[in-house]
Amino acid sequence: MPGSTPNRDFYDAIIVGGGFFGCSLALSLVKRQPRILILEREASLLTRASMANQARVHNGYHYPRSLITALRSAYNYPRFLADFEDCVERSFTQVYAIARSDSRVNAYQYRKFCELTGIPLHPVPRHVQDLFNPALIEEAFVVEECAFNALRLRDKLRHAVEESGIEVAYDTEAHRVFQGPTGTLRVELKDGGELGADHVWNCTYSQVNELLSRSSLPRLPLKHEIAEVALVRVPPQLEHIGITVMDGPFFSTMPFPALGLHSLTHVTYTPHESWTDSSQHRPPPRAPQLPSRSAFMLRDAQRYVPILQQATHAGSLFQTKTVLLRNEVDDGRPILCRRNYGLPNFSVILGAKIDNVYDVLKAIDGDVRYSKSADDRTYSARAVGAQ
Amino acid sequence: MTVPTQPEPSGRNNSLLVSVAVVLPRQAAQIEERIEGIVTVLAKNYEFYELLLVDNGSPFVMQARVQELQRRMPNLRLLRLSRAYSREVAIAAALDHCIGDYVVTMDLTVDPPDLIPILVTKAAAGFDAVVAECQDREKGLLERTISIPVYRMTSRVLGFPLHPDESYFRVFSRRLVNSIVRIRSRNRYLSCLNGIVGFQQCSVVYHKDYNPLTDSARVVKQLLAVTDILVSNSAAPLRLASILGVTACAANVAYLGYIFAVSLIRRHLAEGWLTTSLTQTTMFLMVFLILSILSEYVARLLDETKEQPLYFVEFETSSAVVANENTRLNIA
Repeated sequence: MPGSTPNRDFYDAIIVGGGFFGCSLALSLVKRQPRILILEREASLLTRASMANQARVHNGYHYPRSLITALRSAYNYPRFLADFEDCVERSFTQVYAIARSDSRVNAYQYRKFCELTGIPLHPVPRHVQDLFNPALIEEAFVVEECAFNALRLRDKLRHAVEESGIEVAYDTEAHRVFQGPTGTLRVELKDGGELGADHVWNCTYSQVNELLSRSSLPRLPLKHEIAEVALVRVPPQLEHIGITVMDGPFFSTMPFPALGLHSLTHVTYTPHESWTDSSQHRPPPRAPQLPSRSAFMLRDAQRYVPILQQATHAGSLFQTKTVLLRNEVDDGRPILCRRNYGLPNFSVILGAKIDNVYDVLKAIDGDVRYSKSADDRTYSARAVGAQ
Repeated sequence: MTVPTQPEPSGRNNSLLVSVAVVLPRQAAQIEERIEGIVTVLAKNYEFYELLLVDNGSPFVMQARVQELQRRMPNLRLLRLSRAYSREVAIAAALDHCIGDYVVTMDLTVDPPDLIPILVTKAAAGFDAVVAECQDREKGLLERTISIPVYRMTSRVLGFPLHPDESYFRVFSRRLVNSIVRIRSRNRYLSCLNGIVGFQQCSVVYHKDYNPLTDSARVVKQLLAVTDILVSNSAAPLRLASILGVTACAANVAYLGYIFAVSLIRRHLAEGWLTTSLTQTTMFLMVFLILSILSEYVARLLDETKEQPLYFVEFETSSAVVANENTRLNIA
């Protein structure tokens, strides 16, 4: 079991942030750099952005306006399923519906986009078709996409980290990173301690710029928003169905396996407040308690799927969501990766979609195995077959 | 992992989501004050509300001013239409985009926001449409003798009530909005939309102490409006033309009989009278007959080309018990 205080004062690599990307990076590096420390400011791994999100494993359907994100999601999807077969929920029907008005794509264009991306669209069964208001929905498709169970994912990652001998310091926050007198990197901890490392990785998601600022390094052009994921109890007819209305100011509701509820997000109402790092310095609050906008999300969703009138709000998850400024228009979600950012061997990684983690690992010439028992040949066969 | 819940704030209605939709005026005088006035009333009475501002070709400065308001006020939506459409089309766009359980349409410049909770309460009591009727304390002579009888007659022709004092200030239930948005007629009048659908409607009267229009000006305005509504929503005027045509045909036939009778009885007729009369009467008979037939066809075309659903469903209920057929055996 990893302890809460570091066992050494010098590591091959220190990874700041024990989210999905931080843990995956650690597992990827551990073969070449066995002495690895993850600094996690919470009491557990995968607590914040990795936990409070829609739990969607993307297969590309979500990005008709950003082909590269769509293609990479589709490419990585089978591998994610192979790696996390025991953490994903596939027993529901995922439906993408195209809104008749205000959508940036129509049904024809969406079908063409899926053909181009190589992701299958299936006709919706009659009982699902009847859920939609035909005046507002042009066409609906059944797609191949699933959800992950955030709790199981956390357990799996924790187990893999422990199994690999990676050290984790919980309740420990990095204050700043600087170059020591001998040229190696030093990490100053918030409680006053100091650690040394050959490599330091900043994987703190919404806190990326905070750590950079404290380290006197230039901030990255990021936009943050407080995002609300509403959790709802849906009527029995929707229990095994996920619905995403494309492509504009619409909504998505799908099973949230970790709680046995449905998540509900809305393009208009999920972002509560937003700000950019470049315009004004404003640290995101650690635990924002904002009034829920689930009433708005539900009312709008009911217009498209009338049976959602029977859905009830069970609670909401709030989290600071961080995206690159340049992707506000095309909705693309590339992973930000900056090697040797301001200091030699200091790198920044900011990921948005967990299923795209393989791209960044490939970019840094690494690979990851989340389980010792994983059979690479099995995975390869699945990946090829699914493609 | 537990579901984080939030305490329910008290004092305001937290079960309804109220949408208010207004079309932005072309002139921007006091717009901020008026918007703030509406938002203040909404925020005081409802936990969940939205104010949808439809920019129907307003000057660019208006857009900037609303966006400035959006930076400091919550739940403000701005819907910019691509060009200036008619006010009725702008309201149709607003109804398409509002998400509330109740949607209030109002005139930003004249309607009092304080009335919103009263109208919504009335609607929540079971009415799908609540109309605010703005009346003067005393009606003028012309309005009493001309407008009111004309409106009464028009109401009978259309089959639903119309009042000369009706305004754009009204509340629609979600059920009614969902029905109204299926009506895509280009010539549309907010005051007729619920009449076409037929859900429960009531009105709330409020008085204005000052009305800038004189009695005669108001009557002219009302008569123009009611004529337009009648022509847009009913084929009755065409039917009237058709009946007149048939009547003229009958008169011509009678006149033809008269011509033949005169030609048989009288020995001396003015030269050319018989042929001229016969030709004219026959021609008029044909013209009126053709016009009558055309009117009937045009009237049917008008009904068929209206983009309206065949019917609207108010609600549907089912039996609470299932049929008890246990005593019968499935044996032939």
